[in-house]
Amino acid sequence: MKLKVWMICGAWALFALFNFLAPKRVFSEAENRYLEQKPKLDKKAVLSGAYTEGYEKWMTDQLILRDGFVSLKASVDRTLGRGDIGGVYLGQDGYLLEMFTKTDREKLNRNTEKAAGFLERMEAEGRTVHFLMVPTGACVMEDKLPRYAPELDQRAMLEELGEKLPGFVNAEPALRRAWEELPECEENQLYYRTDHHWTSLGAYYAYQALCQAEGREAPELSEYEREVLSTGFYGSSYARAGLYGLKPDTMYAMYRKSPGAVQVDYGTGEPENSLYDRSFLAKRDKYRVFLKGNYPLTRIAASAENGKKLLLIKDSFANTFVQFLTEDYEEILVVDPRYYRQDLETLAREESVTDVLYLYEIKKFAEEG
Amino acid sequence: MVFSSFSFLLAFLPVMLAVYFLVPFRFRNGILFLGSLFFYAWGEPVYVLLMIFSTLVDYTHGFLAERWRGTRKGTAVLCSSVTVNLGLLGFFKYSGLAPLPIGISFYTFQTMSYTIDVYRGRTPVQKNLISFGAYVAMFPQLIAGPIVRYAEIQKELDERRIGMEDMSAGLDRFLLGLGKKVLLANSFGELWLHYSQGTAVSVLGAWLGILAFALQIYFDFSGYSDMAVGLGRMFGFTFPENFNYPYISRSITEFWRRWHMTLGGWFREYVYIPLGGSRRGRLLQLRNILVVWMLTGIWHGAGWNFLVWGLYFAVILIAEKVLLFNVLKKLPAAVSHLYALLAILGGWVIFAFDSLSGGLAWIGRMTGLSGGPVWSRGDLYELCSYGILLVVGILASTPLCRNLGRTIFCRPAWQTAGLLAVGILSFAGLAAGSYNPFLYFRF
Repeated sequence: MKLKVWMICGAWALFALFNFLAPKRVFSEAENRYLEQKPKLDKKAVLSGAYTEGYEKWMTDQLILRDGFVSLKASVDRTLGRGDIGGVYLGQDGYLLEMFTKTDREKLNRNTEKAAGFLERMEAEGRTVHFLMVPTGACVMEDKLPRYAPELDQRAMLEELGEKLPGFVNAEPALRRAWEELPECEENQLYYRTDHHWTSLGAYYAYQALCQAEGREAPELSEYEREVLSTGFYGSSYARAGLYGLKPDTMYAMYRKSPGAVQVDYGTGEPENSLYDRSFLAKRDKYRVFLKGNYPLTRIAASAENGKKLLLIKDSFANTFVQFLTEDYEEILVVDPRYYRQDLETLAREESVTDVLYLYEIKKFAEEG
Repeated sequence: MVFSSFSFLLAFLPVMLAVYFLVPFRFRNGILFLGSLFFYAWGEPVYVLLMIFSTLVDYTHGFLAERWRGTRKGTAVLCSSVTVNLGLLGFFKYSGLAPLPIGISFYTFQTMSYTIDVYRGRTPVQKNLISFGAYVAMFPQLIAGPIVRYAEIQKELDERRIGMEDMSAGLDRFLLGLGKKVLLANSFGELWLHYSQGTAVSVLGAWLGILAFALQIYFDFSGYSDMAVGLGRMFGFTFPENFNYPYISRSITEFWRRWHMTLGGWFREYVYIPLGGSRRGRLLQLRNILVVWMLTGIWHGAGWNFLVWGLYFAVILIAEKVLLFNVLKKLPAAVSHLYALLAILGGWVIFAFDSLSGGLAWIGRMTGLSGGPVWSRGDLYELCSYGILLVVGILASTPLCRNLGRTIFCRPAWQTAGLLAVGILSFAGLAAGSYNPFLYFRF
């Protein structure tokens, strides 16, 4: 018993000591945020309680082995049967799938009406319009979900949206068919396991669906070159679950075997000649390798010579998608309405846009605004 | 400061224990007093003055109560003490004019018990202000009880020994309490939150939700009491027990003998018995029950729901005294147990919602009167997610788990391993609770 007391007290004291002496971190890679620093001691802060509050946060943020502790808790919860942590399902085979369990109907209707009105006006002015809607990974990879996952019925939602939105293209059937037919392996991933986005291959199948809706054939898969960008990609779902030890994703670019030249201008006036910014591969958010992430307006001078000019209104799913469009248009204007503050109709008219494409993941579309 | 925080676990407690054991005995009450003031001031940098004030008030009142014991002046002193204490409690808890000082419901009851006991000659006066201060401010039980009456630790305040056995038992209790709070209560809290915020809750969901709340509040509160008792033991004090497996009760009368026992004991000692208890006839006894449980209700908070909660139990207790007791005794254990559990869960529904309408709406969901479905797919999902934990929680609220634990962990080596595991997992739980990834790539 003596030994027991000494061992527990000793372990405790040693841990407290190491925790006290350990160098403090400024930034957490795992959580992607600046950690709380030691608060300054001053009378006002002490009396208001802000000092002790800051101190508590500092102690918690600076706990040694913090990430390990967080992951330990997540794995214990998973072992006990917990289906989700931090808004992602702990799916089978290391799949972390973003949850989509409830939606604000009013907001969805508002967003639908707004987009529908815009597309109708664009169509009336003689432009070709399409709305490509993408289901979440959980909808496509249903078989990976935990049992009884309380997911919304996205297929019904998509059908409903299809009746309201002009030029609607539902990416779900194509993705689902591909998911069911392709043998399961790393290079056939349609969505990342550790991120909510789709892969280049997933985007390709949606591109096929879009081409079909436009009455043309997409190039065969074999005509594309696949360049592995990273074999160690951990994305947003991974960060949210805080669960370590899962297999990282492989990320790759897809382009035609003889890629035409592109000029990408992010609004700086200094065009770059690639859709990919490989400097992000060394950073945390590797998905930004595609078009550097989200910019208000990106202007891409593409390789086609057909006089077609596309206005692409999109969320981050489109960043992977654009690589398939460069041979279809002379110019593409990529607009992220979350950051682009000017009027889209004016833009379309001033730029003499011939085609308009909305591309959204259904969850983001429902939750935007 | 709360026990389940890293500043307590990794800074305050190790330093406090080390200093406490390094200084000679005569300084220990002083260290305990100062440390406890620091502990309190950590959460309430201004209200610590209030606690010091309360300490001084009852120190002087105790002094005078002894000097004038048995005279009218003595009675006046007693009235003055009760008025000041209840005045403080009333002002801060029910007027809504100032934020509630942490633990005030606990320490005003403790200091009152001292003056009353001195007045009644049940306990000698404490002449040493430091020792008295150490009693009032004693950090292990300061914030969430148990309510320790002065008479119960009076001897230990002046003389105590701390052996290896105390340290060992204290560590057991503290770590198990920490585990109860962090690993069980917090998880059940998540489940309850899920349901209480849900919109379309099924009948099954409403039952699961309130079950989760019942387990949450039990493991939270009893976990905190365990930590307090354990810490008390490490510092050389024997605190009274606060919980004795309340959910195995077979009547509400029994439940209240097993739930928050020190509060029940306090009201029994200082309200129920002075009012005559059960010795002055049935009718007066029923009145006394009504008074005590109304007070018990409003002791828990200023909301109307707490008063109703107290009255709810008063009515059931009276019904049990008058009618049900003989019936319950004859019923099979399973039936009376089921009755008690239903009555307890009914109480928690009232307790859990700030508004009575919220509680009524929940009852509507539980009975299906609100028109919800009997069960939903989401309930099955939650059952898969929390099923194992619910079973563990239910078993852990019976003596079965304790007995099993004693059989498995009979050797100190196993105990050490088990306790370290509980400690590490609790740290993990606390760290995960603060896990807050910033996802700028999501909007």
